[in-house]
Amino acid sequence: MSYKRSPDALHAEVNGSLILMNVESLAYFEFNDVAKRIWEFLSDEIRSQEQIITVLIDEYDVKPEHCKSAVATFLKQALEKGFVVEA
Amino acid sequence: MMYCYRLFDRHIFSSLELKLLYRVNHDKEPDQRDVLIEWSSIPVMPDGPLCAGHKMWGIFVLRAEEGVWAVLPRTGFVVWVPKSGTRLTVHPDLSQMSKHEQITRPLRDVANSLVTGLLSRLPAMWGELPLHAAMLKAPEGYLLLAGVSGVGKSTLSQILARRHGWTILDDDSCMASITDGELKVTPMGGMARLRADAADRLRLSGTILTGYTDGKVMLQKETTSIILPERTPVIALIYLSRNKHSSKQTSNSYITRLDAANAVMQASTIAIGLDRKSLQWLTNRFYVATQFGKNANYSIIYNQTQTPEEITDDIEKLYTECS
Repeated sequence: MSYKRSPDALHAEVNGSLILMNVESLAYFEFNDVAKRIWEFLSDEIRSQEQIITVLIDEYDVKPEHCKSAVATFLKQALEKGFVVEA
Repeated sequence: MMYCYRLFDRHIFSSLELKLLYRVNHDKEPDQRDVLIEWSSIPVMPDGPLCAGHKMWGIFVLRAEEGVWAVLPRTGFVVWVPKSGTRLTVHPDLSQMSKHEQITRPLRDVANSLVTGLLSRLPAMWGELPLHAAMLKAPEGYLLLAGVSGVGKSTLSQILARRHGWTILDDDSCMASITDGELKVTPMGGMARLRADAADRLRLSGTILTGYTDGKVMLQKETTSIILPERTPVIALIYLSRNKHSSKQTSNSYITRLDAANAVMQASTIAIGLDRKSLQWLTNRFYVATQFGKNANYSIIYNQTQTPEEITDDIEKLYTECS
């Protein structure tokens, strides 16, 4: 499965935190460091779940199984909140 | 005769006196940025989807193709606001006339309702973000006091001004914009308005306003000029709310410094607008709110038993902390 940033998602960095708002649902969200990295990696590109996992395993000291599960959870929540869309 | 007033960083011209705004001497014709209020005797039937307010409130807004209808249901009038937000036309509201058969509100009530209901929200049509917050100038920068009507913005502003000589730039509304990446806040330029009991308590005299259900009074002030802000920083944004459920007689305020996410969300709640569903307004609100999130943001939840002076003490402590 591949993903991209939702066109309805606005984002801004505030004192080191990444804050997002979906203009359709008006939901707000604050991203932690790993979520910020995924958001940055998505940029304007379409990225597969496997690409995201590969980048995170490469950059963070994390076990692959744990990373896969965390990315799956993140993408599920980000989809529900409307910050990413399936591509 | 046209009266001229200051409205945020523009002039507003009206043939009806708008006593809640500071009148200025201005002998020029309105330019493109200025706001002109025209009156029409032609009744209209406003139509369109609801995009702000509620039909039970003092104002609600209907979206139309080239602008919005701002309906002032307690007055019997409706105002056409074009997308430019600069040429407003006040019409008798046919939908209200059919309910009440005739309009009985005096024009001064209509004028008050125009100022408090509509003009405070007008910057939303100019691409700026109107905020429901009092604005004070203190030695170290601007201080904003936000909260719902009746929470004490005006009363606390008066006490702070009296104690420290701080300037009340507006006790109800201001407008925020981002210029060259910097947050700029401009006061509306309205007259100070307090509930009658608060004015009595502070021994302030003023004219009792009609057209208000909560018995507010307007304080008389110099009307020759108002101070527009320079590039002075906003040092703190303080959100005021009342704890209605506290049973303790001597409890203190609950004060928290908001983290970035909460600060952004709180700043969003004090934004007002004429089309709260427009993408432009929502986007503007988000980016201005994130700028506010970079400042010091506090929440003060005070108890009903506390005096305004005690709450003012809390604000002073926060001011000292962040200045």
